[in-house]
Amino acid sequence: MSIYEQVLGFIESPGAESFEALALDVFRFQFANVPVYRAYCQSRNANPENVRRLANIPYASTLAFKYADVANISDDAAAGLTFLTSGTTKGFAERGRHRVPKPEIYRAAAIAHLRRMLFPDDARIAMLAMHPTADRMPESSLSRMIGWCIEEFGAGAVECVASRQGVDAARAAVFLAETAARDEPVCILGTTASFAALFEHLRANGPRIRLAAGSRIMDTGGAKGQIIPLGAEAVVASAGQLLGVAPALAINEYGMTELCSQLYDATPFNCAGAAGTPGARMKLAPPWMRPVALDPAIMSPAAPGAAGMLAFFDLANAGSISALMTEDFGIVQGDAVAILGRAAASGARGCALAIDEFAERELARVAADRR
Amino acid sequence: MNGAEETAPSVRSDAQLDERMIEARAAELRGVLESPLDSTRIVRALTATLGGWRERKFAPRRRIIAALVQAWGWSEALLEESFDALFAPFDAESIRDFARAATVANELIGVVMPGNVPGAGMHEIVAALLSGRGLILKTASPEPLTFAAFAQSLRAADAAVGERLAVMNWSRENRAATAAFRRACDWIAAFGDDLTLADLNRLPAGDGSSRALVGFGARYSGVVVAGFDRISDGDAAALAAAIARDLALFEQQGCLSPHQAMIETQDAGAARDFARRLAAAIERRSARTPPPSRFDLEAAAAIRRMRESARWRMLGGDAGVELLEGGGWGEPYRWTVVFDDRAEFTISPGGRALTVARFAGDNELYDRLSRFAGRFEAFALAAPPTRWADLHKILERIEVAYICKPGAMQSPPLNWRHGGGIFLERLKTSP
Repeated sequence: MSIYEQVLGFIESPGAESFEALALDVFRFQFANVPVYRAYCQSRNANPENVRRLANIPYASTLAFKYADVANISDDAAAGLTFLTSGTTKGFAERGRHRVPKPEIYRAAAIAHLRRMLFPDDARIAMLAMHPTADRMPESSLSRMIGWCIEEFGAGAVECVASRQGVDAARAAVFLAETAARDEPVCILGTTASFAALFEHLRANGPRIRLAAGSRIMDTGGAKGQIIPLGAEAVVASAGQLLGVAPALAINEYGMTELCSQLYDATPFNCAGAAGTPGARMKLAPPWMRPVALDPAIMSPAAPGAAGMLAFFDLANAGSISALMTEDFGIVQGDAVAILGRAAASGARGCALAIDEFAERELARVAADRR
Repeated sequence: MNGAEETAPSVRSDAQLDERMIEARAAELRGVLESPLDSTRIVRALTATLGGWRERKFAPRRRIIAALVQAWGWSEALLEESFDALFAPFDAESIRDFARAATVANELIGVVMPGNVPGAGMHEIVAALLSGRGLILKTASPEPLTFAAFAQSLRAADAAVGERLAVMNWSRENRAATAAFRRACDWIAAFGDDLTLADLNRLPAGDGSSRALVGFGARYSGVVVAGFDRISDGDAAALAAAIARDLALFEQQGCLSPHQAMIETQDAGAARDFARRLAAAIERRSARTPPPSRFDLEAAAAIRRMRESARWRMLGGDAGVELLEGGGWGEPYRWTVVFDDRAEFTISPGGRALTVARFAGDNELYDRLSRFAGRFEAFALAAPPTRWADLHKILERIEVAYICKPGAMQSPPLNWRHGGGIFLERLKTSP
C-alpha cells in the first residue's frame, strides 16, 4: 500500500494509536522524495535513522513554500494541483507555491473535517460562496475547498457572488433574502473580509434578513485584507443580528495554503461541552493533524499551556512537507488550539514610537469603539 | 511591588497616584521654576551627577544594573558597557558648552519615557535641565528604574536642581493621571512604545488649546563601509569589532542600533567574507557581553522569521544569501548575521541580528537607502578620507541625524539632533 493510500485510509478511519507510526512513515517518505526538505533535515542532522519519534521530526517554516521549490520527485510533475498563497503584502512574485500531488487526499481531509465541524447534522443545504470558486480562482486553495464543500454538502440554491475583483454584497443580500423567503437554510462560505463587506451592506441597506433555522456561516482569514479588522466575536454578533444565524453556527476556520487540513471553532453545535462564548472558543484539529506550540528560540515545544508559534504535523500534506511551523501564535491543548494572532515581521523599533503609528493605533481604537 | 520604590522614594505606585497628585507635583515644579537658578549651578549639579553615573562603582548605577539584570535578563557585562557608552558624552566640557548655547525658558515639560532602552532620553532630560526647564517624567512600566535613580542622585548633588525633575509612574489605564499630566505641562515629548501616548493625544491641554506633542518616530540606524577593497586585513578586523559593539550595546533595542551594514565592493565574495568576519566578531563579543537569557515570544518569533527566510532562500538556491547563526539548533539565540548581497535596507528584529549587503558607488548607496529617507537616526561611516565629504552629503540627503565612526554609535554628543532635532528645536523656540 502506498503512503498516500495509507494516509487516505487514516483520514477515512482514524486511529490515534497508529498516528505516530504513520507520521514517521510519512517523514521517511518525504525525506526520500522532497529534496529541499531532505536538505533541511540534514542541516539539522535529522534523518530516518535517528528520527524515531514524532517529536524528533524537524518542523520546516511555512516560508519554505515561498522561497524554495517543495517538489516531490516521486510524483508526476504534471499531475496534481498547485496553489498559491495570497501574497497580500509582497506581491505576486513573492507568493508561496504549494504543489499537492494527490488532491484526493486534500479533498478527503477537507470534507471529513467539514462534516464534523460544519455539518455534524448531516445537512445538505443551499450554499452561498463569498469567495471565488475554483473555476474563477484555480490557484486558491480556499476556492478549491469551497467548491468541494458545495459539491458535498450543497443542495438547492447555490451561488458564488465573488470574483477576483471582489465580493458582490448586494447580490449576496438578494440571494440570502430569497432563501429566507423560502425558509431554506443556507451555508455561507467566505473570508472574514467578505463577511465584513456583507454586514456593512446589510447595515447600510437593511432590512434585516432572518435566515432559516439551521443556517450557518464559515468565515476564514481573520483580519487579512480588512481596513478595519472585524474580530471573531463581532462576526458572530453580526451574523446573529443581521442574518439571524445562531452563535453556535457561526464558525471560524483556520487554514492556510501550505496545509491541506483545517481547524474550526469548537462550539456547542459541533462539540459537546465547547465554550458558548465566541471569545473563549478553541479550534479543533482533525485526528490526522497534531498541533504543537513551539518556543521559536529553541524550536522545542513551549511549556504546557504557554503560547508559542503554532506548528502542525499534517498527514494530509503527505505529498509535500507535513511538519510545518506557521507564523501564528497560539496555545495548544491536545487537539484544541487557541489562535492568538500573527507574529509580526520585524518592524518599528527604536527608542520611540512614531506619532503616525500612534495615530494609526488611535484610529483603530476609535473604529473599534464605534463598532 | 514597584521596583522603583526600593531605589527611589520619589516614584509612587499606581494606586497612590491620582489626578490631584500630579497636579500638586506640577504646581510645586512651577513654583520652583519661578525662581530661576544660575546656569552654573545647574551645570555643576549635572556635571557631578553625570560624573557619578559615568563611574562603574557609582552606587545608584550599580543598583540599577543589578535590577535590570534581574528584571530583563540582560547580562551585567552588557549593561555596564552600554551605560559606559550612554554616559560617555556627558563630560564637564560638553555640559558647560551646551549650557552656554542654550535658550533658557521657564517651562514645564512632560516626557513619556521609553520602556525598551534603559536611560534612553537622557540627552533630552539633560538638555532640558540645562535650558532652565522643569520636567515631569512619566516612566514606562518595563523601565521605571533608571530615571528615578537619576533624579534621586541629582537631588543628592544639589536639591534645588534636583527638585526641577519629577519622576512618576502610572499605568495608561489611569486616565485621570494621564489627563492631569497633559493639562499640567506646557508641552509633552513622547518616547516609547506606550499606549499612554494615545491617551495623551486624545486629551486636551489645560488651556483648551492643542498644545504640541513632540513625538520621536521609530527610526533606524546602519553602517556604511566605503572602499572596502582598499581596507587592510587588520583594519577590517577592527571594523568588524567596532560594528559588533554598536550592534550589541543595549541589545539592539534603541534607535542607535544598526540594522544593516552596507559594504562597497565589486566583489561579492569579499563582502560575504566580511559578513563571516563580522559574525566571528559578534560571537567574540557575545562571549564577553553575553546575550539575554530570555526573549519574549514576539521578539523570538521575529528573529526566527529572519533566520527561516534566509535559510529557505538558501535552500531554494539563492546564491546571494548566507545565514550565519550564533547558538546552535535548539540552543538560545546569540546573534544572527544574514549576508544578502543586494538587499534593500532591512529592518532587524533585534537580538543582535544584522543584514550585510553590498553596494557599488555613491549613486547606488543613495538609491538603496532613500526609500527610508527621514527614518534614519544614525549611520556609522567607515570610508577613505577622500570619500568622507561626499558620503556625508548622501547621508544628510536621507536625513540621517547622527553620523559617527563605527563603534561610537551609542555615544552621540549632547547636542545630538535626536529624531531630526525636534526636541532641541523646541527648546530653542519655545515659548
